Amino acid sequence: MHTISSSAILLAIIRRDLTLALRRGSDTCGAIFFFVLVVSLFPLALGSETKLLQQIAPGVIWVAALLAVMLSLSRLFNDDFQDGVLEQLALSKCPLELIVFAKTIAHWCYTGCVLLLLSPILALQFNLPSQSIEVLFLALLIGTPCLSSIGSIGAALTVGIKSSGALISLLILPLLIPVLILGTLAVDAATNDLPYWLYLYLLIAMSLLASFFAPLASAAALRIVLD
Amino acid sequence: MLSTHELSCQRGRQQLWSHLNLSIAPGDIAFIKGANGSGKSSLLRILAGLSSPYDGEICWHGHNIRKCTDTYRAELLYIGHQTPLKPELSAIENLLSLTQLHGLQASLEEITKALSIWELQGKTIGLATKQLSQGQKQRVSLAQLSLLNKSVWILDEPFNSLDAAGSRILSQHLEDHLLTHKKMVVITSHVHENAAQIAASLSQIEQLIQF
Repeated sequence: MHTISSSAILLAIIRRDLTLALRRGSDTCGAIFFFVLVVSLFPLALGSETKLLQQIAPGVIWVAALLAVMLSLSRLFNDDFQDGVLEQLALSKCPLELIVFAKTIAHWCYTGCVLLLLSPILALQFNLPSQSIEVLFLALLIGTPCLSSIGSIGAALTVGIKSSGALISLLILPLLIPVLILGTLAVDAATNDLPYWLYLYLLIAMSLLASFFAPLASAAALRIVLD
Repeated sequence: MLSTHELSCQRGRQQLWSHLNLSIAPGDIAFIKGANGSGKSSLLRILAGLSSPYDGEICWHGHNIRKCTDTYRAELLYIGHQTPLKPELSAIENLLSLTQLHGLQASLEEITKALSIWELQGKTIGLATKQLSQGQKQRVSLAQLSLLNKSVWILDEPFNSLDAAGSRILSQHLEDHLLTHKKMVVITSHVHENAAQIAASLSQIEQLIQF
């Protein structure tokens, strides 16, 4: 038995959460399938009008990504709370804020990151030009960590509440509207050959702020739940 | 040395207990007895630093545990009334991640050895814990006692769902911890035979707190 550093504890927590996500595959895949299906239904329902599809593509993909992340959030802390692991996390050698940060990273890996990797393929259905697909990928790469971070606050506030999904959406969706707007504007700008970097810079700023402050808020909420 | 000064606990508007002065020296066990809902678990959660008391303070070697959280936590093992196990992970994986939370990396041999002390061997320890019985889960969770070398054990109803053999192993652990290693234990149980069993093995209970 040897001692390990705080960063090793965090890595262990990320690895544990990813293993759990793999073992309960059907739950993890639920959000991903939701994303793929919702995005694919639009081209099927609207027909092959290229111009219209190109116009709605960024909005559809961002809204679907947002809702898919919402779907997967309710279990982020609730499972650990139900089986008593949250108490052990709170008593860990590592501060709860960092543990929340690690859990958010793990959450991003099994939702945001998968959505991100699927998005270029799904975007092809909307006849998006290649430059727009690149920008969509970049915008999702920057924006999805922000969804997971801010989402963790909602998940932490609703720990212990049964069927917390609707409540999380009510709490968190208003906060995520700026991400949605900036993300879609960036892709729109790229489609219309306008400068899109401004929107991406703003998204980066939001993501950085959220990933710093959200764990503090979530950890405070979890401490109140445990008290 | 763990001590409390004028500790009170309130849930909602109801005062559960108040003016609790306790001091647990090395080699002491505090056995907390009381009816359901009398605030046994609340006391344990407060002692572990999970909840804050309504009034009063808890001191570890004379310092408030709010001020010396890190040193206190390094010495503390709290096992609540739930078994803190992830149902999808095996006994080995669960114990591995629980020890990692304490900042320790246990080897596979150490974990299987700890589990074998609790008479869990072979296939059982590789199965997802959702397939284990409640008593087996309790044993896996209590295997932390054998694995982690902590001074203060705070155990909430550890005898629950253990069979006779399991209870004997736990009593043996308590005896070693208190008499051989001179460490501290806070324990609750609503089953009086357990009190008798611990009392028999320790010749006397140092402190019996009745709510």
